[in-house]
Amino acid sequence: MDNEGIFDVIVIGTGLTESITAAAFAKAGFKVAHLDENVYYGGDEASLSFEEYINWATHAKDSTQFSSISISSSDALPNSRQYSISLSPSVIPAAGPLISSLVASGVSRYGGFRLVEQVAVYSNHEVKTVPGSKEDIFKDKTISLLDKRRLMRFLVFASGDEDFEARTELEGAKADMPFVEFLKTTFSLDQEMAETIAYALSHCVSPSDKALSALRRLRRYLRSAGRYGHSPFLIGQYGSSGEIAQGFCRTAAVAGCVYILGKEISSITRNRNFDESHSTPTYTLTLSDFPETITCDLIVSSESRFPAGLLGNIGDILRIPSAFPAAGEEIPFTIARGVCIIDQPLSFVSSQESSSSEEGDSRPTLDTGILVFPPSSLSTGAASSAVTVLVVGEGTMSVPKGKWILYLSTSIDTAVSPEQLLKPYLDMTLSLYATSSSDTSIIPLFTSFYLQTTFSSSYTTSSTKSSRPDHSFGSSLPTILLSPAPPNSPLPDSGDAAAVNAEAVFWEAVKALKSIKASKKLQKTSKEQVPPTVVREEEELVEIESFWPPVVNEEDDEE
Amino acid sequence: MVGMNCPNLVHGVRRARQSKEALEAKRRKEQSKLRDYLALTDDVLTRVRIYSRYNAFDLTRREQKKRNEWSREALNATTQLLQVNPEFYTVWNYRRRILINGVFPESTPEQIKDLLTDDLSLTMEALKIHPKVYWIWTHRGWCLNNVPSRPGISDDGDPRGWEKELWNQELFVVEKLLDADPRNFHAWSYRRLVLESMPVPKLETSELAYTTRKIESNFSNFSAWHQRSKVLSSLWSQGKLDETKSKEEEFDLVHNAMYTDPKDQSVWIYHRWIIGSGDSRDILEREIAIIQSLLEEEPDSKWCMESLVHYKRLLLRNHASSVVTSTLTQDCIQLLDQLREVDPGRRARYYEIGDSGSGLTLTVTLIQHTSYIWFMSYFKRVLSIDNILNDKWRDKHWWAILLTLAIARLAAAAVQTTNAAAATATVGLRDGSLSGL
Repeated sequence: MDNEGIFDVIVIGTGLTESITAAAFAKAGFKVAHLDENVYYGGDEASLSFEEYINWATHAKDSTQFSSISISSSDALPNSRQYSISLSPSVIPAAGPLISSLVASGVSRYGGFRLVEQVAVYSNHEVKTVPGSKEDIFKDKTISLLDKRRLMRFLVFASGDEDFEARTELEGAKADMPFVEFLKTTFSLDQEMAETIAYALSHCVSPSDKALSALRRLRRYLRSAGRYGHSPFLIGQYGSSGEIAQGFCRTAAVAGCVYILGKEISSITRNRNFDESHSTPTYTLTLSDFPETITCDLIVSSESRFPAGLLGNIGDILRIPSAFPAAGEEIPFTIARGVCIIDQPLSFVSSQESSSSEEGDSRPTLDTGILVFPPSSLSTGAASSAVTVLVVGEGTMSVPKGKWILYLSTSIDTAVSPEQLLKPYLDMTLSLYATSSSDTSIIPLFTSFYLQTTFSSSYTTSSTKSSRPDHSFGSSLPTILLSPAPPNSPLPDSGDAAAVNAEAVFWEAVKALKSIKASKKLQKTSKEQVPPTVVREEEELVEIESFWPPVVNEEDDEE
Repeated sequence: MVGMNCPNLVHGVRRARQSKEALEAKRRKEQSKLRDYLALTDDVLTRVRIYSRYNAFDLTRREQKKRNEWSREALNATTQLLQVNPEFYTVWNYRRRILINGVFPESTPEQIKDLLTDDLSLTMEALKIHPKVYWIWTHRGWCLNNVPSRPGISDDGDPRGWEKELWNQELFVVEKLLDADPRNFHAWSYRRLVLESMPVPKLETSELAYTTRKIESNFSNFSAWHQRSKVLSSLWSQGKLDETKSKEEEFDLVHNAMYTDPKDQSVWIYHRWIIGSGDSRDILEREIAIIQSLLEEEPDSKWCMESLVHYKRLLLRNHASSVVTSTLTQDCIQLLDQLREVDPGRRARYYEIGDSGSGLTLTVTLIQHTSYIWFMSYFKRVLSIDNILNDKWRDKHWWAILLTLAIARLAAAAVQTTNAAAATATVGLRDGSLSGL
């Protein structure tokens, strides 16, 4: 009874970043408890079944994250249990921090991943697939010879190894030029090609996105292409980010982390009288409807989930800045999202392209793909940001057979109704039906719109440049760490950002725990002495040398 | 990657000790493997030596049999050896002789087929590890060529039934290997053999589609383009495809490849093949214009420049009456200048193209060659063994040696300066007499 309820770290919120951190703590040997007031894993990045989603929409608490939620109807759909609707859908680049963490932690063995099949862009009033490789460009019959040469020259430049800042193409103030302008002037690309590259290959958000950051992002994606297949992006099966967060929680639980879901925190008490002779932990937490109190030395929480109202003294809070390069200097912090369920397939291949190679009326249907609408591409649409449509089909195991979910998202900077903003895009997407036998547009079975606000307005601006955490306290030790929220756009970045931030939080926490324990001067077993180190050659048994301990090779080897 | 530390968990002393032991164990294992291999080689080669040393006719039948050169045992020994080292072509030869002389005469056609099928599996395994060893491919071809003519299982008594089955399977095998490595010229060459030998030949148009697929997946593939050229030539000569229309389609394909990657050599060589001897002035001029636009986009492209020179010279040669020769010649000279900058390693070649046909160069070349011949023949006469051993030879002929060397050097120097002079004096191209194209 004495040792239960005593933890080294308590993690609040089961979003992706916190789940990765919890798994890392557990695998490194700390005693961890992981709390979430929801009954499901994933927090704001959760994947919900259809009924859970309706529940969430109708009973949305005054969460600071989500607002203006609307749904078309709350009638249950057939096979509603087979849906896994993502609140913050994302894709994973095939080479990047999240994939590395998934493999190194062993979580990748829990679930499957599917390659995104196609990326398409809407330009000049039609949908075109986006060429991503030399072979694509060679075969594409819609690009002129000269454009092919210029596009290839740009792609070779973009995937080079050298630092972009050192290249002559970026001399002068070019690094800060808007990316689309940069492409047009330095590489002589036309407007359409420049927009395709900026919005559909590099996933820029607005016309003012800077060249240097866009190039760096593009290079990450180009390097992901070919690793597991043609496309650079993967999507986790059974519900992308929510399922992945759950996978990390599962790994944490296997390594000894305790999970308490569905209970709100009713109080956090700071134990005042810990001094050198006592071994009292720093905090005692009580949860509603939970008999025991739990204690810990360190609290790690997402900013949005932290019950700040419960704790008066904020002197010991350390906000970890985002370690992931931001998409631009000014990121709009609100995303308008749309979810739409349909029962007919879409096709990104225009009838012109397919008639030369295929017989018959039907075009190749799409299972999983991304369609990008550059700014101002729709006359009734947004002019200041791109709209992304992620189409997921039964191959992702998050919909029943014969159904697809469309996820629309765009950044906004003024308050608008998400439905008003996204409806034109949804209608345009629904007109891309695969079989031309029916001339009417597809009618969706269910639609829902909402706004999602990234809770990072207060400190991303101050910390994009600095890599040191913002020490907002005097001489006392940090005992509460707040992890940064992942950026919600561009689409492929939130997973990688979560992994990178999780690692930053992990190391800070390890450092903090060391100081806390040192300050208590406790005699504990060497198992809990955990100085952080980057040096590899140490003889001690439990040095934390890496974010993840080496994976034990099990019999089945999928990767 | 951002902030990731993924170290090898090396624990200092312990690791080092382990690796030394591991190295020792590895060395011992290798030694024993080596010993086994040498013993096996010895065994097989002794058998080979036996049959080759003694002319078969010298031995009576009984004596031959006693020596067991063509025995099953010998066959098994070769199997073992070839599994370890499939590049040992002597042993492949020996194996074939064993089969022909020792095993086949005592087997029924069914048994022969089974033996050959076994050999096909053996070579298949070897090919998976060594896909580029000539001898494995030739052995495979030999097996298929020696399949007895018998009707197959489902063939209405077609006498080449077995062959049909096995050759069709070969096509499948070759396709698998080409999927794994589309640039393996052995596989392509074998593919041609299969297509020739198949009792039921494959349609050439479908072979054309196959090359299209391979080129579309990666056009940096000499063999695929080469195969395409062979198939197209055959289709054109048989009248199955309209040559002019087909050539236009090929130009279109090649233009796309050229503009996508101007550095890819195979594309330019294919283009040159389509142009051929340059009989059509319109096509030549059109292609020159297209390559010229590409050159403007990529001013350093060596292939653009070289192709332009080649095609302009074709114009000069074949259509001199209907073109402006002076402009064309001027263009070529300029391009050759640029080529010398962009591709300095082949400077001399561009000089040579620049003044091939010049009367002056011809004379100098002649001098160069004759002096070389004289030099060599003198030495041939002089350098008989007795003379070299004799000291007197050196005393007598030292001046001759020196003189020969001096003349040779002078001739070479003359050639070099004349080349430079000829290039700037534009002698060779201007008089329009082009030889050595």
